[in-house]
Amino acid sequence: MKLSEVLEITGAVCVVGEQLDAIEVNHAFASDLMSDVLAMSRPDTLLITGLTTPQIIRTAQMLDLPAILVVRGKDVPQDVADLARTTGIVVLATHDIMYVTSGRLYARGLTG
Amino acid sequence: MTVHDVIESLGAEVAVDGDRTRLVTSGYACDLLSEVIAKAAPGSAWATIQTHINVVAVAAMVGISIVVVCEGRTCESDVVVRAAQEHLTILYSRDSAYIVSGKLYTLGLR
Amino acid sequence: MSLEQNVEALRYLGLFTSLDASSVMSTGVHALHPEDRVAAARTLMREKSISGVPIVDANFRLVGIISVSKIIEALADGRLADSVDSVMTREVISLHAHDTFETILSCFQRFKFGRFPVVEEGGKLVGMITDTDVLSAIIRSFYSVYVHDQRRTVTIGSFSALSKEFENSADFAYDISSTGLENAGEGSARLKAFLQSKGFGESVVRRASVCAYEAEINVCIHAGGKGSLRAIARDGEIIVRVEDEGPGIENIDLAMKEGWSTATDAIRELGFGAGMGLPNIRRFSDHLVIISGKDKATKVEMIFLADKE
Repeated sequence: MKLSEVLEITGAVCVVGEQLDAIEVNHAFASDLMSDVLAMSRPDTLLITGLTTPQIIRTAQMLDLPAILVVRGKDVPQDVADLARTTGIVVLATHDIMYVTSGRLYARGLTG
Repeated sequence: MTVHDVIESLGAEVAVDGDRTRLVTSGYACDLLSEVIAKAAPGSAWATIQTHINVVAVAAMVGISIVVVCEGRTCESDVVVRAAQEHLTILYSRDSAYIVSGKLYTLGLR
Repeated sequence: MSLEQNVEALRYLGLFTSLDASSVMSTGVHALHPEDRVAAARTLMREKSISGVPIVDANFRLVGIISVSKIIEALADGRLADSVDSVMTREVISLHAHDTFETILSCFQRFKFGRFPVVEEGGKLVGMITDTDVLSAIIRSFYSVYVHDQRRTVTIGSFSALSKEFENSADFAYDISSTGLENAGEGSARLKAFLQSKGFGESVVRRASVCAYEAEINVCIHAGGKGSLRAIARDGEIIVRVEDEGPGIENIDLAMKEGWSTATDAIRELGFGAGMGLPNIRRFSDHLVIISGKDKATKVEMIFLADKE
């Protein structure tokens, strides 16, 4: 699924990143606990999280994840956005909660 | 839908068989307890990987109808005992929180 | 000092009081039955590099022991085909599972054997104690040493030396100096870039980076954010070592359990402290050594093999 489709399905906005129709993800993983994410280790995965610390960028960087979708209407702080920019990770954001966001993407075929 | 309906549709292991007649009116996925306390609605089905005793306290405080512990995690025995006392249903699912949310959402739980 | 004085000193100082025979012994014991051949005892000793084989009956009760010297005698007399029963020593000096450390030491001192079988009530064989076991137990009581090796089988409690190469120099070094969790992970990010520049494959770089990151986060969560991250990367192998200045892991076995954590609620709210850090490191590394203890510095060394791609 292209990131541009993710935006469409979830109504999210792009906080950091460009050319979203050129980037694809084949899976999604939703968690607020970074160690949980680190155990997963699948690079073509969209990370869905409500956490907005710099650690979400570091976690994505370590795992080579292309994009993060921040849920629950949380603001993405400037330092996090800057770090995403320098590491080349796309950050999207939606007002919806994790459950609804996951539900919508799952219903449209993005597997876990 | 009721707790019983959720149990039947998810096909997950029933770790604590609580009050099956309780209504489930929404879904919530979150691992940060302070967030759950602040934002989760009473009557939710809560998907999480947290397995310690605070989970039961938070669920009781918020009025959560059913807890689904994801990714093959399991709770300590003290958690199971406490949940049984509260008539709180806990399921163990092998699926991730994303998939559990997806399945419940597909069933129509918003 | 005489044996009696040594034992009295131990008692007075209260040293090793928690170490009874059952906590010192090795439990993977090779035993034979009385009807087995002497030749089988010889083969077992050679293959497993042991100097004595306990003999047990059908209920695993200790009935005798056969030593190397007995094998040599049997060889000289051409009795390899005889049953072990006819050659073994029946009066076995053995220890009981609840015997104290002092008793164990006294045994080694009094009887000049290299090993003693350990039995429980009823005479069932439950383990063996050699001098190596005694030494390991002493070391373990000061430090916890945890070893996990994908290449061989897991041996918890046995000692494996840390890589000597780090004593001279490292290919990559980073001082971890973080106040709080905010900036944690910079070291691992730099390590990742370094490994990529060295031409290592995507998969091994990811594994090494994730593990370095988990270890770095642990330093920030548990050790005041002060420590070092170093790596050696050559010959198809990446060795990463993370060290801090304490307060150390009191019980490594517990720490290795998924879901077990000593993190505070504040840390949990930051997305960590779910008790996954060390289990994740074990999952992704090919060899792992952790040395730590209460109020001690912690050293974590992980090896990643490139040919696992």
